Amino acid sequence: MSKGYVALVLHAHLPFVRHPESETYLEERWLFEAISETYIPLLQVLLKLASERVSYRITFSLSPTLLTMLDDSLLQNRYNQYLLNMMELAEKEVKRTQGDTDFYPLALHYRQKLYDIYQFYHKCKKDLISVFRSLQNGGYLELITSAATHAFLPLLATEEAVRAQVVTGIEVYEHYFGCKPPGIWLPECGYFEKLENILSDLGIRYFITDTHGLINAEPVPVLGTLSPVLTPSGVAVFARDRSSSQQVWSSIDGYPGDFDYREFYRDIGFDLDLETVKPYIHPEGIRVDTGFKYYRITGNGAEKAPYRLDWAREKAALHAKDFIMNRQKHVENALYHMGRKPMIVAPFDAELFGHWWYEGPQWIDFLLRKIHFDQDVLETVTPSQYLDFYDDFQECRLSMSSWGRGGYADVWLRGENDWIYPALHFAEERMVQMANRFWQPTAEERRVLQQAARELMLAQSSDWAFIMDNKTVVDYAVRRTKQHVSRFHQLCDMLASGTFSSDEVLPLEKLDAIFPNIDYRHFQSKNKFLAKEKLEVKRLRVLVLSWEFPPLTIGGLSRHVYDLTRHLVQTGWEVHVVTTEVDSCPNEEKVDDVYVHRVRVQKPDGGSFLHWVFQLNLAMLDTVSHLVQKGWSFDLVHAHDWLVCRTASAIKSLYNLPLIVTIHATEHGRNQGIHNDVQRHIHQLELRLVNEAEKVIVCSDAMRSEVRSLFGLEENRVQVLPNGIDPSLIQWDMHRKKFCEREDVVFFVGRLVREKGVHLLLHAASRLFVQFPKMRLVIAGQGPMREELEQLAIQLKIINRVSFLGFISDEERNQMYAKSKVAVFPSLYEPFGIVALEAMAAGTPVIAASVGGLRDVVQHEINGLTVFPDNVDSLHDQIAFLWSNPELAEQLSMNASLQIQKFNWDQIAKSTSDIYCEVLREWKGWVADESSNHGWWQRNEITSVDGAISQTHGAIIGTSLY
Amino acid sequence: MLKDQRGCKEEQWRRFWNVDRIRLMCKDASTLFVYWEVSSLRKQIISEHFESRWDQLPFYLLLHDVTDMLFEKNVPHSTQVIAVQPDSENWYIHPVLANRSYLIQLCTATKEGEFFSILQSNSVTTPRVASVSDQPSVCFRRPIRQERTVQENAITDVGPYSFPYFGEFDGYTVNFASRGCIHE
Repeated sequence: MSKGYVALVLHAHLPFVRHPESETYLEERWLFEAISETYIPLLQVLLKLASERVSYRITFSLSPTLLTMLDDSLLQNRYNQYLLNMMELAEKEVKRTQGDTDFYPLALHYRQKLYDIYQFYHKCKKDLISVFRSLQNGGYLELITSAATHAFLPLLATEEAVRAQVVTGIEVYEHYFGCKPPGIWLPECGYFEKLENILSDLGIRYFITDTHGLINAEPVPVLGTLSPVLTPSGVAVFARDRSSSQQVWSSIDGYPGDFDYREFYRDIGFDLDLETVKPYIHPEGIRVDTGFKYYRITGNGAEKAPYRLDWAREKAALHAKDFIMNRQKHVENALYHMGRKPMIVAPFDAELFGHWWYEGPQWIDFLLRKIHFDQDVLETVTPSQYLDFYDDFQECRLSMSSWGRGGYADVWLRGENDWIYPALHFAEERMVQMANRFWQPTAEERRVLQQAARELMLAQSSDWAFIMDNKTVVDYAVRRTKQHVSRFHQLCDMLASGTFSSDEVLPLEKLDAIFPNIDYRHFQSKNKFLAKEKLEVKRLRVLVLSWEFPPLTIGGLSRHVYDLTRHLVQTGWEVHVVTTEVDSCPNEEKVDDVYVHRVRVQKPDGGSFLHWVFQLNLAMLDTVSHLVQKGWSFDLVHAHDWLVCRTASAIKSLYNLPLIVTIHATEHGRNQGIHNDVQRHIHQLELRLVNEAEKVIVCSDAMRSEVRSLFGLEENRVQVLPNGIDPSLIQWDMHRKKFCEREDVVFFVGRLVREKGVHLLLHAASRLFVQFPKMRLVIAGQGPMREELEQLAIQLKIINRVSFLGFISDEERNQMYAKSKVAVFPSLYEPFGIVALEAMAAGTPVIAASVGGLRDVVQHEINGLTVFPDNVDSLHDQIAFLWSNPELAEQLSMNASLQIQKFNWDQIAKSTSDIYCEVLREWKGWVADESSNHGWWQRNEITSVDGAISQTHGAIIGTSLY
Repeated sequence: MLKDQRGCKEEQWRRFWNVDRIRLMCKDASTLFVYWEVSSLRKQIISEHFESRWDQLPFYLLLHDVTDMLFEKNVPHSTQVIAVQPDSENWYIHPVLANRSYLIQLCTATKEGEFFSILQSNSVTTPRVASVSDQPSVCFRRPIRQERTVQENAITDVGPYSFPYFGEFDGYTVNFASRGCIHE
């Protein structure tokens, strides 16, 4: 009965190096050397142990790039040729060293070893993966996967890209082994906080972290590194045991540095004369390792003594024994405290064994035999097995870590390689955009997308940044990074152009032939808001810019845009409103079939309203850019008032869209002139906005005159469309109270600003109250003049007959209309005068100043009474006149109710749609499609693709990992 | 290795992509790295708004400690201001604290000295470094998956919403006479 466990974890990985275009890339030898020195020697050991019924369990991670290379016929054939060359060299070495008592036995050893490897390789029909698979099936190995191209996941930018790396790794594993991987080797043990959620979603049961990754977890793991913990999402984490790692890895006192072991850096590729080795090194005479090494480490100096196979073998046995003894002590000590059997996790790079540490496979052989035959304290185990031994494990939260130098990202993020990330992240985000956009690609488009995904993943390999840091073959790593990024964009540009043939994709498919079954859709965002509708809806699409939209209701614009847009939808338009974010509302949602995109205004915003408006415009512009990058295209832009001028102007120019502008009021009109810099600034924005518009919509004839005269617009560019009113008010209420049944209330509703003329009403009231003792004045609405108006009412000594209600709801407003004898609007400036219409709709007689839009709405003694603007006497006289003539009041309200029918939103939306179509007709030369379902306009093209990179604009999308 | 025509073309490298972005990355427990880019369009409209050439505007990195908070709704625990040049594009920030969440902004400043955000980064959390005084708080659980549900928001209320500048703008009129806004 054992007292604890050892989990030996070997991670086998090489970057994808495959150059069909040339046979002279030295870097392909990385694979060949690893096969000859590590993979086959390890497999030989493991198979032999199994055949001798030695019980052992090892965890082996095979990176997807390595699996693909091992399975690649071009590389298999090149490896075979490499092997034959080495066997030829071995023959020559046997002859050359004949008679040398030190080197000749070694030459014989190498010849025999190469022969055995050759036999092994052909016996398994060059299919090393099948040998791994059979060892897994036999219960000896637990094979796990890794990220697709071994990307260092903490430095990726988007969740989509991390997911794609992991899912692709899983799929490659499933392809070769026919089952789901139980665990994953995170490249370089690179972990970051949110990674566990992705792993959990994908059914990964465990991963391995470096020691400090677990020790620094929160709360502190009570069982240290001798037991796994669970992340909050349930994925198990096993940590590297520091001491066992130290004994094997340490360059100072680790086993591989023993003086009796083979010296890696003395190779005949460098030691012999060029003529002798020339056929076996690079054709241009660049010296390389051949694997024929005749010296042992000997000591710290340069002098090296001949290698002795028997001495090295003896040391390997001793070191295996030492390793076991130390682990036994560790386990026995911990068992007492833990209350469950401790588990020591010893992960290593597989290539250490055989390639760097020549005796490594032999050490593993001794280790497993001794554990099996010579003791009963330890037992080998895999992480999956250990998880099944116990019911529960401590839950901890882990933060970022890796097993690289310093324990974090120092190796992959420093002066030597930080320049790659802006490009890699940009490509990553572009891939996400493409994946989201091409929901149902053609076969040709799919090929391009798949190859783009391959190129991106190849560029993401952690190996390139690693090489730049350790300064070995930097040129190669730099070239590979640049090539893959460049090829990626070449493919995206092909998609963007929309015109390409398969001939253009083929060269890249041949050059970078990794993951034949890759699925680009793994880069699609999980949040697919609107994605499906985008394809299904084929209507014309308008982008509406409004700084406010319900529930954000500061002024009247919000309600106007809400009513207009939801009625526009009913005329067949697809409407997207971009507006300001509101607490408690989603940033993207559909409201009455209108797509609403609410933007967050960044802080700090410069500390003043005008800077805030500018900040809002930057945010709106970003949002529209995101929509376009996601594949949305718009047919026109409809901007409301100066607050969205910057966005409207930029979008028109960026995306070449016609612009329609509604000017609800002008800064000049509101202030009866331009008096200061702020007003001048707003006036300039209004001027710019209307000048860039194809068509300007205003709400009244008065506004048309004002806008034309202020901004010098041609007559045909300005169109009058009245505002609409609340549809529920338009229904004539037969049970409404007659004039004489109503309370003696004069009602005003509106903002309390000077232009509304409420001060005039107070002055008039002070005289009316004398004449009509029961009359009261009710003032509803909020604004900066409220306090001043209340003071005025006190001064006039009428405060006891004047009520200031403040803000009231629509329902309260309607109740006030219903019970008031008259509604009075003594404005000095009024672009439209929606309140007058609402009062008319409610059946309340109206008295209004003859200004602006009110003049269009109220006709004297026909549907109401008008007064001279800014004239208290006129106001007093008309109120007194109406008060004294109930029959006239009844007639006026009856007439008004008949006339307001034209102010319904259905009609206004239809007229707006007519304007849109007229603008589009002139802009694009489109024609109406009478046969369509709507009998109206339809989009011919629903999917647009982004332009070439040089025209790219916008903020970056993708789901940020942080 | 001789480079063919394809190779030469493929090894050309673009440093700028004409996008608006700022990305904060964690290098280790005490070092952050940030890179950024401002598109030509954004530079143009910011220059227009502040009535200044881009390269004559002041620029700052504001590094906010946003540990356990939503930056949009709260005042950061601390903010570090780093002046940068108009042509700067990346920065290493050291030292920062372990186990803290940071967010960085590229800002300019108004003539009144108020910061104005141009770009806002993602937030990152520096790794935790355990201290000797850590007391374990143990919770064991079974190694099973959790099912998560997503709750969607909906409009529940319609009413008079406030916004930060209600005193200056009521939806119609800008109510301040002389408050300067632009670099003059």
